[in-house]
Formats: sequence, structure tokens, C-alpha cells
Amino acid sequence: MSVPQIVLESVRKRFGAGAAAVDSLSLSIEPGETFALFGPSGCGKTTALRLIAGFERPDDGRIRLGGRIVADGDVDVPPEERRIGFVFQDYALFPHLTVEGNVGFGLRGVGSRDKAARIGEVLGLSRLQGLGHRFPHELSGGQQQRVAVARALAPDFPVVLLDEPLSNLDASLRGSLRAELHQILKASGKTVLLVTHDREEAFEMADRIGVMSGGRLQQVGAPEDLHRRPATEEVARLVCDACFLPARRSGHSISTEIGAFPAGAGAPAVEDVILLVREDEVSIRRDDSGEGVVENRVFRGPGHVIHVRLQSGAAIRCRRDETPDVAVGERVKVRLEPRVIVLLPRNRGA
Amino acid sequence: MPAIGKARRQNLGGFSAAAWLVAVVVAAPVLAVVWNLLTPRWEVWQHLAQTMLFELVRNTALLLLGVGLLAGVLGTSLAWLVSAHRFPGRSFFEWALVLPMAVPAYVIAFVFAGLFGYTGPVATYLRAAFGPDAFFPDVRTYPGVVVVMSLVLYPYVYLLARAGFASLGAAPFEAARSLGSRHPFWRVGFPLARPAIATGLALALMETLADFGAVSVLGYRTFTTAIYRVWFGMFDRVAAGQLAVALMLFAVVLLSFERWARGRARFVQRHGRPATEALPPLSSARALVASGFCGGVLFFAFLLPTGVLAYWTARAAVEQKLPPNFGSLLTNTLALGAAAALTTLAAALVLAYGQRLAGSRSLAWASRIAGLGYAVPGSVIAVGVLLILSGADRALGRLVERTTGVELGLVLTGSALGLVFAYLVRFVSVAFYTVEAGLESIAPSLDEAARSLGATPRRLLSRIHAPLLKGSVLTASILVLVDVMKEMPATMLIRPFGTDTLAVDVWQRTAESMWREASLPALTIVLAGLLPVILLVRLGRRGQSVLPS
Repeated sequence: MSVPQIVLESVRKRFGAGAAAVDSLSLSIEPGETFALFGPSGCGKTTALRLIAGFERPDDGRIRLGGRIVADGDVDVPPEERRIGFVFQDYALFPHLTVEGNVGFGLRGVGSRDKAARIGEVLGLSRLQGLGHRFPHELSGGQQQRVAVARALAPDFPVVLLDEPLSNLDASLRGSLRAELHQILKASGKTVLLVTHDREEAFEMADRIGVMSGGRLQQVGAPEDLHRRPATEEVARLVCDACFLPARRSGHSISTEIGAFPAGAGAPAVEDVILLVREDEVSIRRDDSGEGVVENRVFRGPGHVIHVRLQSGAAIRCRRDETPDVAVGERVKVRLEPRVIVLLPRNRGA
Repeated sequence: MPAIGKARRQNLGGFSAAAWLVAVVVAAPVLAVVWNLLTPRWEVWQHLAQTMLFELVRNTALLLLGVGLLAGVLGTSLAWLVSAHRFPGRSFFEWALVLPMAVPAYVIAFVFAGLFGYTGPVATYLRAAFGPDAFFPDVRTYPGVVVVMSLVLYPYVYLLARAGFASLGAAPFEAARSLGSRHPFWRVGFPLARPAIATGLALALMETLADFGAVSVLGYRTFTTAIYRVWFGMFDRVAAGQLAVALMLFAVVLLSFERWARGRARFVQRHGRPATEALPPLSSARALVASGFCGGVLFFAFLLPTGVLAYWTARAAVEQKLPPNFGSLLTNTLALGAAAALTTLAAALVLAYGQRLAGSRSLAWASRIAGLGYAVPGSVIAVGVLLILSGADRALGRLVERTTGVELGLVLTGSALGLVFAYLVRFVSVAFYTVEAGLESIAPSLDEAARSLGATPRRLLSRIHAPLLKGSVLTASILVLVDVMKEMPATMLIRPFGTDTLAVDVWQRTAESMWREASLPALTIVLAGLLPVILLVRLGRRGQSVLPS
């Protein structure tokens, strides 16, 4: 079995007197893997990245890179000795150096011919041919972003960390650049850890995703697994287009105000649960004696999303591709056709 | 976002210590003066109170009041005109109205004294035309002093007010117009820019308080002239020290006012349309009045004094009345300026880097203390420096006499070292704020990027910081060099015997009404003074906030 490339063991970091930015974070990333830390802003994911790079020192816990301890109570290897490429959210390109100067900055102790060859190789990989003599301010946003990536890839460091790599770009550009960036990173063969609050970015680029919230890692898994079986309400909220319905479990079945369902295996062993209701698993029909009232309908993408308020006050959403024949204020009958039953423990106050 | 950029704190103790040393050195002269305050000499105060104190306080207060009013009105109205209206020459006046800043108050004062004095061409002409009792505008009066000083100090108010108006953009004025207010100066422009105007006013008043040359040429007695007279005329160092305390109290009031105003000023740069597009165009008659007003101010504050200086210099050249020692005046001045620039810059870099790397609260205090020098009048700093140097000389003399038996005399007092010390105290803030702004524009992520790519701190400094800071270091050196060239009160008090500078020469000759002989050194100072003004204008174009120089 190979040694994991990045290992965090119960890492904790607190700034000032507030709550910990990162709390008992444990994580193991295999060589060559692309891993995404995904979560809302302020969840501690950037701090985790900076701890690994060595820009911050953990208060507690241990960080290993390729089996070597780089940070714990006694050790603190400075960033310049960690051999980690870092792509900054604001790119942090050196404004006084050309593209070549930036990309070649980390190539030290390399002969000038090898250096030029490596720069050319990385520029080619990043589709920056012919731009080597430009200065950062002469490049478009997307080009600057690729220079930042190329600069982090150029040295033969085994690890690349990316902090919100696409967040500084226009939404229209982001989609195409995401695919491009994915290709470049995969082609480099390096271990990649990226941090993002963009769900599509994490799902499209990562082999595995760690969902973070409040400084803690909520769940780790392959994108599909996370989507199919979110472990907590928080993860479900971040990962799935879903709403939640209070439910009562009794034995092998659960009852909700719109019907009863079999409780699948692995459901929480408590009575009070919530049922995950995905937008595309709900259907509605106009019915004057129905249990729901249409509160709102909005056009989204090719179809419509209809907001329905149930008698208990719970709100659910339903997505239909055809134009719905229900109007705001009308009563509807709601039917649920779950593909997989996902039951979650009810949070306090939920 | 976590607090970024607080790099590892190991091995930074040296930096903190150096930064504190700079702060202590810079604060020492002011502390020496304050020490005087804590040990008041009542008999000296009694004497001062009987002879001049009342007059000095009244004169200084009246001067601040007058210049505050006139420079405030001039600066604000000109800034409002060019920021919010279109009229012929607007874009020219926008930068040209900063030019009077290049003219030191003592230069415009002696030019006006020469032009409008009793024997000057204006008065002579008026007497020839209207008889011997004809009225002529005498500048050696209270209104004269106020007008002359306001003409070259309004640019402080103008610059800050303009930045304040510009930062508003068109939006608030469009909003005001949509709500039915056609000329929204009093209801929108002025209230929003008031903190900026107040900051500019405070800076102008600090210059007024510190001025020595203009008031002494125009025969208006203030604390600065009194300190000089008491020090050199009566050799009464104790009384001079007590007067410095009184002047310092005025400075503290102004500084508090400035801090208060600056704290409320927010120069949010909005990349919107300028206010000129949101307001109705001036009628053509009014537009002409606006052009005339701007042109008039520019004429009296800059074109007339520089033109007259050039004419007098030419006449002096023809009459062979140019100062024969001009070469040595220039080299003395430049050598002192260069020494001061180097010292000041080294201190500023230590402070700025200490703050960036160690970033502790105590260091922030150290640089804040060191940054207050611009608010302390040169006369106060000079007195403080002399108190320290003479104390050091006494101690050194005792030590040498005890160990070798040789009488040392005064080594430090009256040396160029003392002068550089005083310049450091007065101008380190100029260099510090410039370098700090340059350093702040280097994002902390650049440091981190370089280090993650394997750069050691040394390589980080040489490959990233040095090339990126070059511009601000150069700017800071120019600002300090030119400030030293213009500096008069501290130079007059501390200069080594026989070492004359351009400013000292101007003062000596104008004290004897030798206007033409003084014009070449004065013109040189004005030309040098144009350098930082050009830098300032370019900075203003890029939309950066303007700091006092």
C-alpha cells in the first residue's frame, strides 16, 4: 500500500478568541488523487489549505506530506521547504516579472536549458504558448489564472493546492475553464487539493470531496455517493437540490403527512427523523382537497419549480419540465416517488 | 478570511527592537520639549507674559483663523468648481491649481513684499498717479499675511476636497437632482466631503503654524519668530524652550483636529461617472466667471510670483548681482538633503517592515509615534534637538575631560549631524507613509507565493520586494529631499556656523530687502518644489489618496 500524499491528523487552528477556524480535521489524500474541500465561505477550508502549505501553523494536531511530518507540536517546516505548489485565489502573480519569469520562479538549481525547456513544457500544457514575454497586466483573467496554475506546476513538487481557483472569473467563463483546468491538473499527474464553494466545480473536478462546515469535516466521499447518501442535513442542503420533511419512524416504515414509506437500511435509529425530498422526486396534481397550497412558481432552466406549503407548515419544492397547470394559491395533491429513501436525524430546532 | 500575512515570528525580535529605536529617536526632541513643560520656569513665564506672550497667542490664533477661513473657502470652492462643473479650461485648472504648493510661503511673501511694499513698483505707480497719500495694498499687515499665506496653502484643502468630491461620483448628485435639488452643493456635496475638507484644512493650518519665513519677512510676530529672536537675539535658551512648549500646545490642538477629521474621512474610490456629468452645465456667463476665478487664483498664487522671480533673476544676472556663493549654497543644500533622505528612508523602511513582518500592536504604536513629526513645527523640533545635543555635549565633554583632561567644547551642537537629526524627526512620516503605501500594494499572497515556490526570505526581498518597492522608495527620497530644501525654521536654528543653504540665504537677503539677490536661490527652491507637486498630480490622477508632504 502506498503512503498517502497528504495526511491531516486532528488538526485545529483558531484565530484570536473566536471559534476554531479548523477543528479536529482529519483527512488522507492518496498520490495522484484530486480532492476537493467544499463548503460555504468561512467554513475553514481555506485555512486548512494554508495550514498544509505552511502559511499558518496548527494549534494542535499533525500534518504529514508524503509520510514526512511537516507540522505538529515540535516541527514547523517553513513553506519554502514543503515542496507544494499553491494557486492563490487572487493568483498572486509577480507584477514585475513576465509570464516566463513567473513560471520559472520556482525552478531553482536547474540548468538554464532545462529551465527553459520546463517552462516551455508547462506553458504548452497550460495553453499559454506565445505569451511567455507578456506581463501579468497584459493578460486576460483566464490567462492570468492559467499562469498561476502553470507557476505552481512548474517545479517538480508532488502536490498542488488551489484556493478557489476560478472564483475570480466571470460566470460565463468559469464553465469552460473548469474543464480546461481539470485536464491540465490531470495531465500533470500531481496530487491535487482544491478548495471551493462552487458545487459544480467540486463535483466536476474532484475524485473525492470533503464537505466542510463550521470548521469540521462533515462527510467525505465520491461525488455520486455524497449526492445519493448525504450523511447530515447540512451536507444534503449543500450537495442536493432538496428540501426536508419531518417524519416519524416506527419499525420498518416511516410516516409523513403525505404518505408512508419503507425505512431503508442504515436509517438513523431514532423516532424523530427528516426525510430528504428531492425536487425531481415530487409530483403535484390540482386537487381542491389536496394537502398543499401553491405558494410560488418560478421558471428555472427548461422547466418550472413550484413551491408548495403543506398543512404542517413544511415547504417542499417540485420541479417539472412541462409548463405546470397550477396557479399560485391553488390547492394541490402532492405525491412523493423517492428513488432512494434518505432519512436524517432531526437537528435540534429543525 | 484569517488574518493573513502574519508570517512566522521567529527571528523578528531584531526588527521590533530596531523599529522601537527609530520611534524613540524620532520622539526624543518632542519629549525634550514636553519635559520643559513638566518643569515650568515660572519666573520665565511671568516675564514672557509681561512682554510678548499675549501678543504671540493673539497673533497666532488670528493667523490660524484668517488662513483657515480664506484657504478653506478658496480650496473648497475651487475644488467644487473643477469637480462638478464644466467651464473653459477646467481640465487644465484641475491640475494647475495644485502648482502653488511648490512655492514656499516665505518665497511668495518676499515677492509680494517687494512688489507691493512702500517702495515697490505698485505703490510707486499709485503714488505717481494719485498723489503721495494714495492707497496701496500693503502686505505687511494682518490681512496681507493672511492673503499671502492662503494663496500657497489653499492647495492642501483643494487636493483633499477634490479627492472627496471625486470619490462621491455622480450617483449622489443624480439622486439629489431626481429629488428636486438643482444645485446640491450645500445639501449633498459639502456635507459628504466635509471630513476631507477638514483634513486638508488641518494640514494647511499645520503649515501656517510652522511657518517662520513668511511671517518674519512680513513682520508679523508669531511663536516661530519669537523663538528665533529669543534664541539668537537674547541667547535666552530657557525662554525659547518655554515658547516652544506653547507652540507645541497649538500643534497638539491642530493634530487632534486632523486625527478627528481623518478618522471620519473615507476615500472610497468609486469607478463611476464623475459628478460633472450629473450636474446641469453652467450658463456661458457663469462659466466665464468660473474660468476667471480659477485663472485669477492661479495668477496671483503661482504665475505672478514665479514670473517676478524669473524677471528679478534675469535683472540680477544682467546687473551681476547674483549671489557669488550660489554653487556652494546648492551643494550644501543637496548634500544635507541627500543625507536626510538616506537616513529618513532607512528609518522608514525599518518601521514599515517591522509592521509588516512582526505586525504587533506595540510596533503599530511605534510607527504611529514616529509618523507624527509632520505635525510638529520645525521650530519646536529644533529646540528639542538642541536641548538633546547640548545635553549630550555636556556629558561627552565631562567624560572626555575626566579621562583625558582635554576640554572638548561643543561637538554635536551646531554640527550637520544635528540638522540631519532634525530633518529625520520632521520628515520621517513623509517617507514612512510613502513606503508603507508601496509595501501595502504588495499583496501578502505574493510573499506566500514566492515562499511556496522555494524562495528564502532573502530571495523574497531581493527578487520580489526590491523591484516592486523601487518606485515608492524613489518617490519618498524626492519628497524628503525637496522638503529639506524648502525647510527654513529648523535649519535657521541648528545649522552649523558658516554652512548656508538656499533657504537660509533667501532669509538672510530678504531680511535686508535684497529681493533681486534672493530670487535665484528662491527660484531654485520653487523649481525643486515642482517635482513633488508633479508626483502628487500624477498620484491624484490614478485616484490614490493624497498624503501630506
